[in-house]
Amino acid sequence: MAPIIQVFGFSVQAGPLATLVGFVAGLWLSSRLAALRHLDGGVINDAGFYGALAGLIAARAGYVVVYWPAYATEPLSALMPSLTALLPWTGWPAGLAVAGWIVWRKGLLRAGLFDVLAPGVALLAMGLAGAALLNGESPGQPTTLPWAVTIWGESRHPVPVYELAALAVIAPGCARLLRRDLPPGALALAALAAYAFARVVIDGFRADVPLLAGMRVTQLAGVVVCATALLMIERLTIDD
Amino acid sequence: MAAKLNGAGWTRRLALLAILAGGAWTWISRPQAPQAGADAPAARVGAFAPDFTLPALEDGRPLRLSDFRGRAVVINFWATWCPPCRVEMPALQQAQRDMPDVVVLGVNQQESADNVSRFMREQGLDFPIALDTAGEVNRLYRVRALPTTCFVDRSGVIRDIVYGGPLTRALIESKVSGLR
Repeated sequence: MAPIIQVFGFSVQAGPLATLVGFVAGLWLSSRLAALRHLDGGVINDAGFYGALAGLIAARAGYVVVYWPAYATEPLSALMPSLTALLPWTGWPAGLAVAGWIVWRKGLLRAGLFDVLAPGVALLAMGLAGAALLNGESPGQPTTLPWAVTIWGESRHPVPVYELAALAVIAPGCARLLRRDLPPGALALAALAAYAFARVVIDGFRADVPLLAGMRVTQLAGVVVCATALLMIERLTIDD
Repeated sequence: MAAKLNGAGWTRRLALLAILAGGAWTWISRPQAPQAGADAPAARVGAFAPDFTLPALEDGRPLRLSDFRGRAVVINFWATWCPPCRVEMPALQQAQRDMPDVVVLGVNQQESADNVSRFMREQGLDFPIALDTAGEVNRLYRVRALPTTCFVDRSGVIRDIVYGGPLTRALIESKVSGLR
C-alpha cells in the first residue's frame, strides 16, 4: 500500500496516477483498434480527451456550486489544482455527454463503437484496480493464504490483485475477439458479462461491501448484470 | 455476414448458468459474521480515526483525539520545514476562528517544541498543536507526505483525507460542512 510515491523527487498521489495511466492506455488501445470496426481512431481520441477535460471542469464547478458559501469570499480558490474538490455527480455526466456528442457528431455513435471501447475500458478498470491496491482500498477478508497482503494491520485477500488478474484476461480477450466477425455490440456485452461475473466471484472475498438480505450488494448486482448482458447478446444475434 | 452466436441458444443457457453459479457463490460466500475488520479503526475514509494521545505544545498536557468525540476534528499533519504546510497554516487558523464548533488539531512531525513554538508565535497562530516527537502517530496514520489532512466527523469516523496542499480556507470549509 503506497498512496504517495516519489517520482523524480516529487511526491505524487499514486491512485490518481494509476487511474491516469489506465485512462491513457485504454484510450490509446481503443483508438488503435478502431480500424478493425472501420471507425476513426482520431475521433475516439478526441472524445476521450475532451470528455475527460469537460468532466474535470464540471466536477470542479459542481463542487464549487454545492459549497458556494465556502467559496463566496475567495472565489479564486476554486481554481486551485486539487483533486479533492471534485463532485463526481456533475463530472461524469458532463464528461460522458461531451464525449458522446463528439462521436455522435462524427457519426460514430453505433453499437460497433462499444466493441472497440471494451478493451480500452478494461485497461481503465485495471488502472482503477491498481489505484485501489495502492490506496489500500477494497480490503479483503482476513486469510492465511501465502499471497495475502497486509492491509490495515491484518493479512487479507488482495482483492484488487484478483480484479487485475481478471481484467488481464478480459482486456486481451476483447482485443482478440475484435478481429472476429461478430454482430455489432456483441463483444461489448460479452465483456460486460465477463467482468460482472468476475466481480461476483471476487467480491465474495471482500470485507467492505454493503449487504442486502445478508448477501453482498455488488455480487447480487453482478449476477443480474451478467445474465442481462448474456440475454441481450441473444437478442442482438437474432435481430441481426 | 455476422457470425451466428446463438446457434443452439447457448447464451440463454450461459445466462442460466451464471444465475445458478453466481447465485450459489453469492450465498455461500456471504459474511457469516460482521465483516471482519471492516469497522476497525484505521487511517482510511469510512473507518474510525485511530485514537492517539500526544503532548500539547502549549503546556505539555496530554491531548487525546477521543476527547474531541462529539465535535468535528480536522487533523493536520505538518512540519515547519514543509513549504505547503507553512502556506496553509493561516487558512487552518481562520477555519478554527470562523468555525468554533470544529477542532483544528495540528500534529507536528518530529520537531522540537522550541522550534514549533517560535514558528507559531511568528505566524500568529494559536490553534492546538500536538507534538508527535517520536513519529508514533505518523506511523499510525501512515502519513506518506506532508501536509496530510484528515477530516473526522462528530462520531469519530474519517470522512475525507487530503494529501498535499496548500489547503485553502474555502476547501477546508467545504470539507468541514459535511462533518457537522
